[in-house]
Amino acid sequence: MYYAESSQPMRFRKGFNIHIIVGLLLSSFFLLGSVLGIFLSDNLTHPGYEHLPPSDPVIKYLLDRQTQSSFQLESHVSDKFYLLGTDMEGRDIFVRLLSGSFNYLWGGFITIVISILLGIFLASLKYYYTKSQLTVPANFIFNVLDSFPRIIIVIIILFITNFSFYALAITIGLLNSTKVTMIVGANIEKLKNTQFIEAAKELGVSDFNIIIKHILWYNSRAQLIIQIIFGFASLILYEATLAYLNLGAPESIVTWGKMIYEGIGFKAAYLLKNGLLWESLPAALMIILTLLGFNLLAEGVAKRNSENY
Amino acid sequence: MVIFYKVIKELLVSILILLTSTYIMFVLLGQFTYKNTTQGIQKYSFNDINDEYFSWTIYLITKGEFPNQTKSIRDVNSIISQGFSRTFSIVAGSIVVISLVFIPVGFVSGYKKLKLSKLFSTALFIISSVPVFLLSIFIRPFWVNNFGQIGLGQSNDLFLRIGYFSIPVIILSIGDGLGGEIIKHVEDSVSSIEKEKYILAASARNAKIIPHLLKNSIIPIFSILSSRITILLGGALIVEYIFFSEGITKAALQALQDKDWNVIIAIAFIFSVIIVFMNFLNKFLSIIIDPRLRS
Repeated sequence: MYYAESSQPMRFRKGFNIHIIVGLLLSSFFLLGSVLGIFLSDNLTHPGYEHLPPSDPVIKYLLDRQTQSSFQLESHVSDKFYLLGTDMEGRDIFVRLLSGSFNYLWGGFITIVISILLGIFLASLKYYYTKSQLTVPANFIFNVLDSFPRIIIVIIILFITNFSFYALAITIGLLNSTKVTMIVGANIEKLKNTQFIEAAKELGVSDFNIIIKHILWYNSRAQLIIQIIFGFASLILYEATLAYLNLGAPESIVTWGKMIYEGIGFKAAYLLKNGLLWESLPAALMIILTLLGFNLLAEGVAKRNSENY
Repeated sequence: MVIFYKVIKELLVSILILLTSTYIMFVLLGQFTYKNTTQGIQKYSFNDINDEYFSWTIYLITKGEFPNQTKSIRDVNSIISQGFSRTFSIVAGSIVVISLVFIPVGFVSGYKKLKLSKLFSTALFIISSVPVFLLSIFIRPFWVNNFGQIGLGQSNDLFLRIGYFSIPVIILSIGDGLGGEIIKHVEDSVSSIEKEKYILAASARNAKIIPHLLKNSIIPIFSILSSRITILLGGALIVEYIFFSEGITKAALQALQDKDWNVIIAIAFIFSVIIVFMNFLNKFLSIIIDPRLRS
């Protein structure tokens, strides 16, 4: 029985390890919230504003609230119940967290699709078609993408596109494609001279099928899953960091980084003095828990696929 | 002789990559630059961008300094030298912390598999999930209360000066997933090298294993460090902005708002030089140390 267990190929190992379980639990708010965010937020462009009655001017509302803590379960304006309270401008924090995770999910999809498609394309040209005329240009494009100072390029692109969130996602996808290229390329190089690939070539299997199905899907699925996880994580990380420098997404798109900036930003002294730091804490905690969850998830997938498991 | 030709080839390719990435940055910045012409305000054309790029490159090569934008009050070279001195000291400090603390801990964790080192690496893995800017925000009030007088020039105590610089350095080496990732990769590379047949043969002959492990793990460890240099440089900008409020980040943001693109190009060029140099050094060390790559 021991021999049979140890001779099983890696991809048929069953069961989750503790890293995957804890990682899924920690990132569950992001995963669920991004779906719920569509349904719970009445107004996706300005989520959380719907509770303000149309007759109250915003300035009067802010003046009334200056002497009160922002952490309140019931608004003094309407009868609505706020799970995590409201911010200084009266917006529901819980709904904004859900909208933020929904926006990150969309941006993350764009980042991942671009990075994986471009990464597989460049890796195939570099490592599979080594005698092709396109190998040298592919190598050059890879090296140029790798040599960019990422944060500077992202800041330049944001200024050019007027702080577009989706331009940020596309840029991060392009910059992350180098890592995907390296990982996919390493697998292609390791497996392209193996007997089963040679047999597939002899049987007339197309190169596309060999690369996508036999090399990537059957043998490098786990590493691609890890890159997908890191694609989401890098978008959240970059967006939150740049939002703190006031280079965040425009008003119509809610992100966790912007919530932190609006909460701490330039109001830090006033907020700390009056105990109003509540605005930034939910978003900061969500970023920390989501990134930790993603890291644990990636670690769990890597451990499950490794020879030491 | 083969090594010499390989090194020269890598050096020429690195220079070409640097020039291409600088040209692409000129093209990007040219998208939001305008000029006054007799027909009114017009966007920069491709010819204008090419002219700017060639004149900038020739000025840099011939005079060894960055040119200033015409009618700009900023001196690019003084901004770069003042701003980058602190940035580079933070980055250098982080590399020292990583080399002297994280890499040995990863090595011990991968080789000896001690519980204490595993505990340290797990704790670091959890803390390093926090982004650099959040770590900086949380720790900054403590840093200002205890070491703020150094920044205001009110004290020259050596202990305080060490604390003043070491806290941003430690945050930079831990945050953005850097610390945890480096320890994990060093652990994995040492564990995989330990399973090689030559290590088994050495231990069977009762020879010392550590020199063999060290020699064979230098290349993977250095390649891990060189691939993470972009994260280190990006984090250094954020840490510098939050802790010291002055420096290259503030200069870059101000220059972008005033559309003084010579400052941005100079900053981006220096970062690209560092990244390309680290990649070149990685390939150079691989060629020198690993005899399998010389053929």
